[in-house]
Amino acid sequence: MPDDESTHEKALSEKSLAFFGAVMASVSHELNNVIGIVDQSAGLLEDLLYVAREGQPVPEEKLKKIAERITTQTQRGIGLIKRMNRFAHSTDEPILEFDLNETVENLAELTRRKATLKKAELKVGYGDEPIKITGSPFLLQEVLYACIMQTLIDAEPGDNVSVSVAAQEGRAVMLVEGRKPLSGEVNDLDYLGLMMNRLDGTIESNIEKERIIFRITVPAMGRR
Amino acid sequence: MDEYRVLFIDDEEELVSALVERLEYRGVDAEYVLNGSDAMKKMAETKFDVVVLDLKLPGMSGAEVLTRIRRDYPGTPVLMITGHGSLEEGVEEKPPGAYDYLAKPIELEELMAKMKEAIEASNAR
Repeated sequence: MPDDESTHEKALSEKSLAFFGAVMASVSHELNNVIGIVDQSAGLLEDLLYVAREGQPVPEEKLKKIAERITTQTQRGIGLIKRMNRFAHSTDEPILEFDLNETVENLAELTRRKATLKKAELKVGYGDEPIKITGSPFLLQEVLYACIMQTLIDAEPGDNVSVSVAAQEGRAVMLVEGRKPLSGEVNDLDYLGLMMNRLDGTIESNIEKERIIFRITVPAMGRR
Repeated sequence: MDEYRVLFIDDEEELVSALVERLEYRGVDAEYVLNGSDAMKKMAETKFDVVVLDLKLPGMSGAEVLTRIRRDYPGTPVLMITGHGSLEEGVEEKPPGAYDYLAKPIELEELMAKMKEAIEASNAR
């Protein structure tokens, strides 16, 4: 890691920008699929209309299925846009009060496709009560994302990556667990530590057999 | 060229099934699979004139599938689909070996024109 403080700052800013870009690219890819499905479904309806005009029967069930597909994909698109919007607004202020459960769940949903591409499953667990945090939700998401990505580097089909959130004695504890990288090394732990410093938090990693576990803690404001 | 057979490899089933159905209405013999390993099985059973392959696939990546097709079926042209809004933006994600690259969302007429072009170029070799 570079020594000079301004070099640190620059490196952290570049990493944050890369993280923001990676999430946006992933979401735009999914939105492209949503638009593609709606577009082809509308095209298929036009084709069926043409067929009907030619005097061939068009089964009602087929029309119903296409309409349902358009509705489902529209809802999927709305959900993606809401999540993307929430994520984008997490950069609004350097310090915010936010609900950790909501933030983690939102990030996990935006990251899910990365796991799916590895044929792995991303599981998120948290309690019913909100856990209020004061700090930068963007920075915290960046750290979590980096941890999740490290569990996916050498993930195999059928693997589980779990992210859990719990409140413990005035602190919020997040665990990210998955397959350890084949290299056996954790990337950028120093940088992640610097980010956690800004959140008054900590990050540790442990490798146990084939698993890697990240433990991230931040001060919590107590249950509300 | 009147009839041809195309294989789509894409994990978005609702997208690819609608595309296949629309192509069938236009007289194209089209099939689809959702991942790379099924694609290799399907290609071992059936000869396809052209393959349309999504870059982002679960498990075996689109780039890996492309490499295998190039190795095992060098005469079969492959059109690669990227998720980028413009191909210029997606230029870094263009594995070599495909006949051409198309950006999502796919325009059906453009796709059909590209498929014919790829088959004709392959036949002319």
